[in-house]
Amino acid sequence: MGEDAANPTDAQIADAASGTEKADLDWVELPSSDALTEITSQQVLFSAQCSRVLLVGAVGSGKTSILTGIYERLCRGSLEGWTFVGSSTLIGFEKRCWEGRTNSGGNRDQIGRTSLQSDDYLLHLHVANAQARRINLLMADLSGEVFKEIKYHPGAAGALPILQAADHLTIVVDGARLADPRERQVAINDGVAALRACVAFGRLRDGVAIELVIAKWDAAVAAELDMPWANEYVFDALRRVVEGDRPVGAFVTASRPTSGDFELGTGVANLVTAWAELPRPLDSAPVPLPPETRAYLRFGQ
Amino acid sequence: MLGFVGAGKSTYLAAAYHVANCQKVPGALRITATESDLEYIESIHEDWLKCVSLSRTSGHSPTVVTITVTDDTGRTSRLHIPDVSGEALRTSLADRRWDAKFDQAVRDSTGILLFVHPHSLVEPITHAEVQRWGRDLERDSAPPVEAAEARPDWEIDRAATDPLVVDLLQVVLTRNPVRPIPIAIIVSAWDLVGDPDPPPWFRSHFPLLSQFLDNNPDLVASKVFGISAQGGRYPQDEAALRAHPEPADKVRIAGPTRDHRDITEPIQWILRR
Repeated sequence: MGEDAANPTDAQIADAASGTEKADLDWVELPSSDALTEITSQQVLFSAQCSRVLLVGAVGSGKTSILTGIYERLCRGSLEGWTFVGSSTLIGFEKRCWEGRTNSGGNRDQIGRTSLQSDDYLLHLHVANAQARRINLLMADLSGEVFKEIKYHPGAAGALPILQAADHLTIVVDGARLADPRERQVAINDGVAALRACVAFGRLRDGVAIELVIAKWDAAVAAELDMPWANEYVFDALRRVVEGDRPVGAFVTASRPTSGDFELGTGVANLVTAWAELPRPLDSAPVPLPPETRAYLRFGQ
Repeated sequence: MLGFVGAGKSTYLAAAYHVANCQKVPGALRITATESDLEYIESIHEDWLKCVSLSRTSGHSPTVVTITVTDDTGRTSRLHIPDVSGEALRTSLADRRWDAKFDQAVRDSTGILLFVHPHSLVEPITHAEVQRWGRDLERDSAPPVEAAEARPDWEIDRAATDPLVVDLLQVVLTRNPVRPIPIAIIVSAWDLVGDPDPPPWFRSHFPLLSQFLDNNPDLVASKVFGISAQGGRYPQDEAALRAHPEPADKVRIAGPTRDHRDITEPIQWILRR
């Protein structure tokens, strides 16, 4: 609504009245709200405090569900003290939620991102906590196909600039596979192999925080697995891969629980709290991703 | 005026025009000058007076209504109110572009009337809910349904209303320089809600937008209003609505107010900012 103005809207009125509105409208481009690319994320990276999070896990392990679980909880009005400030990728979140609901998310996970138009994989949330602390989260889930590549060819992790730029490396192990005795050890090994490749070849920054996550924890609990078991056989196996004094946290999530007494988005708030911690000094500029990394996973070609 | 299809923008405009024109509502804005072009506002006003559904606003360019009003203190303001179709706004968010004339109106705006309608909300549906429904269906019924091979593509109509409104506001804020820009949120058809207090209703149905507004006081200043500009449902309430000797008597604004018919209050709130 405009007020008290000798402004261009007067001209609009005149145009409309005289029927001179052009058949071919002039259009103004609007900013995208889909997922970001490395290039389009630069504005977020430099706009304010930003934590860059990379999720790594096998196809269907629950990486995207963790991200949509965070978003869906915010859409429900609560994320255990975290609230929504803004997002550059609301449509990106909505698409992924839709894919999750229609069980078509696996298609996205199976995209190799080496040759398809899938550079738009970064999701953005600006959140605040009860202490009025604000943080931008720029979150990427490495496609399951790329996960396979670095599992079988660990040196390929060196060709992932996103790894070098990450503040948080989050390894996701599929709790539903842990619940299946035939799949259990493979699932654990998947996590170990991915973490080892990232640590050995990923040229991680000093101080990068590592989070170990068992997703779909509700399925694991339904199979009578518990936290002592998870600590002994999953988290400890992964921790042994990490050398030195890198910070390592262990988490369980049930983003979209299908069994047990779990609420939507169980455990995801703890991840947000962990991701909100920046390993670098707060006043330092973030390390930008080099422009040539737009198609950052071309090692497979 | 912002709002998606069926949010009640044009109905509100017609009703507020009537209240300001009839000059019978204490405290309401009063129209104090005649404009040269009243074709659009008078045509929707006529429909409103007849108690028939207003024809849906169409086109990508806004129709701008210009009126000159005076408030209780004697302050006179000339208002330019662009009315753009909800369908055009929806398409704009899908295509990420909008009409240059509408863009100019957005950039010139000193306040926003944001409309939501309680009966046209797309609520967020979670995966867990879908699965629960699926389990209920399996338990309760029925021959197994063939798995659909072709899954439907995502389109903007699939998005929940709440994040879509946030997306729209974020776009508007990239184009408009006023900080904080006043946003009067109008919950239309408030008579259908049956709730005494609009802000709690709004918070529970628009949690993402509520958080966005709470967390960005430097960008936006907002207030929620519950307004019934039509007065009832068409066609079932048409006869009763037409029976009002003074059409302004059929409108209502929720909450404490000098006169419950003063639906110009959201505009006045913006003008006072």
